[in-house]
Amino acid sequence: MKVRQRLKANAVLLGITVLIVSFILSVSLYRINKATNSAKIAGDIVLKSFERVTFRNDYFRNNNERAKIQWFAKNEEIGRILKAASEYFQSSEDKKTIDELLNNYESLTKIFASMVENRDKKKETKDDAVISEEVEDRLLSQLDIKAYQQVLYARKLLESSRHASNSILWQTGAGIFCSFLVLLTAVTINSWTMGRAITERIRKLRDGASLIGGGDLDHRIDLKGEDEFVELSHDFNTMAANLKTSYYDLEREIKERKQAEMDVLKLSEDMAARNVELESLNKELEAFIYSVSHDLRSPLRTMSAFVSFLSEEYAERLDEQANDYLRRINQSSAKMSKLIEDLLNLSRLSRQEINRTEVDLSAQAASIFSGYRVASSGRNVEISIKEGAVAATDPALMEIVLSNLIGNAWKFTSKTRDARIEFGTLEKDGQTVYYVRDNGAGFDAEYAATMFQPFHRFHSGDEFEGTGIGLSIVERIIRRLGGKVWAEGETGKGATIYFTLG
Amino acid sequence: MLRHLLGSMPVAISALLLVTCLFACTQTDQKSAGPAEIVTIANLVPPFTVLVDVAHLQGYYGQEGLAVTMQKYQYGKVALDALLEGRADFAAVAGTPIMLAIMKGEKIAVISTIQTSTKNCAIIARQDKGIYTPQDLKGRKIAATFGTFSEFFMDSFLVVHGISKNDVKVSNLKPDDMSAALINGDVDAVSTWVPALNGMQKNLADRGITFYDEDIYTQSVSIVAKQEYIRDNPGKVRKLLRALIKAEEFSKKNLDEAQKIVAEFNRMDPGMLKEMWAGNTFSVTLDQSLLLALEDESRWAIKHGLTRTTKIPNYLDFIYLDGLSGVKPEAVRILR
Repeated sequence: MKVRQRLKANAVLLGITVLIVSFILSVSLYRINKATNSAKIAGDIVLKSFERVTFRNDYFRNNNERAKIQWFAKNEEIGRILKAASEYFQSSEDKKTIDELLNNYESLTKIFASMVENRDKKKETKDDAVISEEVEDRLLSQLDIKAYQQVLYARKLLESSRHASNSILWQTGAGIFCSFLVLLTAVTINSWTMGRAITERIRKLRDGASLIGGGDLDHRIDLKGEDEFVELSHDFNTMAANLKTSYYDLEREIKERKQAEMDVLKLSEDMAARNVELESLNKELEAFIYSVSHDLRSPLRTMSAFVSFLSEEYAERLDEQANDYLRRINQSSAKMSKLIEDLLNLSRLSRQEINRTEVDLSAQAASIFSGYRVASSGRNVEISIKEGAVAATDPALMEIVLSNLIGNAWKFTSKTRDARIEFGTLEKDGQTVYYVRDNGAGFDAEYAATMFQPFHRFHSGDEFEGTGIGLSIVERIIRRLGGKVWAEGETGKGATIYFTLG
Repeated sequence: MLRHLLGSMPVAISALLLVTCLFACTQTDQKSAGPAEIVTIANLVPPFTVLVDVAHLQGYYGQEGLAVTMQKYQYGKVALDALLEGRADFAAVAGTPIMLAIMKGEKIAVISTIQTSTKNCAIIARQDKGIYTPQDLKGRKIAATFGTFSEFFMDSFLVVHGISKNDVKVSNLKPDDMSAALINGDVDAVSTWVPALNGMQKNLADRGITFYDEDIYTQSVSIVAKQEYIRDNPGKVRKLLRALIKAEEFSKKNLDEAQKIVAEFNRMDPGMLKEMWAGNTFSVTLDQSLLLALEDESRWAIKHGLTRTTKIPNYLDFIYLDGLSGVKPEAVRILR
């Protein structure tokens, strides 16, 4: 049986007991009321019997007609009460007493009537008078005895009523006591068995929970019956089964993650090795470039010297065609020399140490612009420099950066009327962004991302001379300084190169 | 708390058992300590003393520690004689013999009334001799057993019907002689009681007529003993009364059984006993009716010169109230 049903059973038992007790009280009240009425009737008989004796005495003492009439009236009243009394007294003993009362009542009535008749009778002779006197004497004694007996019988009824009342009270008390005793017993047994069952079941649940909690996910709690604990044990078992599934899933996931971590670690190690390898390769490449550039510079210089010698010493002996060839060789040598110089500078950047100090970039830019103005005095370029652009950075490297950027701007505005070049700063995401802007030839924005690669050129050498190394040098220096560099522009509308410093 | 209560439980149970044992021992001592006390009762034929018979047949005397010897007598006067002559310790006697004995100066006392009835007495007459109404008894020969309630009933009956004693010829007959005298015609009517009355009615059949009068006399039988005996043996009196009360309770609860064993014991026709039983009240009491009846009969006895004394005694001195008061106080209705 379920715990809830057991508790309900207790409540039902209590309800039934209350009903029974109410019923007992109702019946008792009804019976006590009846017994009280019975006692009242018995008391009335006693009282009225005494009243009747008073009338009798009055009649015999004074031969009073009024007393005689009242005696009969009172006697009749007693008779009515006696006849009604049988409805209130139900026990055989009481009924017998009432029968005796009725017999007694009839005797009394007859005796008194005989006495009245005896008194009213004419006494013609002396013997008549003697007999009359003796009759009255005889009957008066009997009347006394009967009257006394009537009171005795009535008193017996009164005692019976009182006894009945007491008996009812006892029965009521006993009934209520027994009802509560039965209730108490039933509730105690029910509660005791319930408590025992609950304790046993909780123990099994606790043991089961301990085992499951201890890791034995295959353990199942075995409870028999149909109560809530059995339902709880089913839930426990389901939970254990689900826990087991989750555990295995988790275990698999952990394995997978560990494997993934191992893979990532291995990949990182591979990448580090690769980086080391790449760095080594890069160094080898830079060393190679440096070595090649350095080694090429000497024969190129020799070759350029001999070309210059030829042009100066044998120009008159050579025809125009040959001189043109020599001039072109000389120009190519100069270009090649510049290219080698740039390559050497580029390769040096990787090895050059960074010495940070406070650098007035505005002053550096102004100095560079001043150099270009002197070199190209015929050009009219509007220069704008933001004052006070100061940064903690390497002054030599920044000199290279600004020279390249301002040089490019100067170069790509060479064919622009009303050329304008600006060095400025702006704030973006809490960081100072520096820029060099011009309104020169510009570039195709689609290729903005590739413009910092070495040897990348938007314009032919005929249009604007150059090696295509300058922006690569800028990008490498900015990257080494911990900053970023990017470009915006549009073909024919100028370009802006932005950079930040780390 | 619970442990404390449970711990107290054995002590409480032990105390209860001890009290129960003490109570049981006290009860046993009170009732049956020592050998049974010998008592002789001068008893009557049914229906007057059925309680005495039932107590004997149900063993209530033995339960109370009495060894009772039962003597059977036809009527109370002779039973009283047995008591007065020392042949019995207690006697079952009707009111009239008791009154006459006390008026005569006998030191006896009533310990309890055990039976009352208004239907046990009657006058049976010879209808075939022209007696049809009480008035027809005038001038007739009527017998009664003098010194018994048959004499008192006869006298009362005649008086209330306007017949003077001088108008009839009254003779004294023993109960056993009455039936023959009536049948033989020696007398025209007799005043008698059950069960002899029933026998005469049967014998006379249509020739007889019975005159009852339930209003003029209430017959009763009481247990009497000598005052000296009562004074010396109050315990025996209480034991006897307890046994009679048990018999009363048994008879009320087991009427058929009581009637059956009494009929068998007295070798009576059960039907006749049942009929007689119905007209009687069997109850162990002492009430004012006894005093009134004794005084009434005393006045009658004085008036008719049946006793030398002319003074009605104080019957309170001849009723032993302490016995019944000590056993069943609610049965005592006499104030003293």
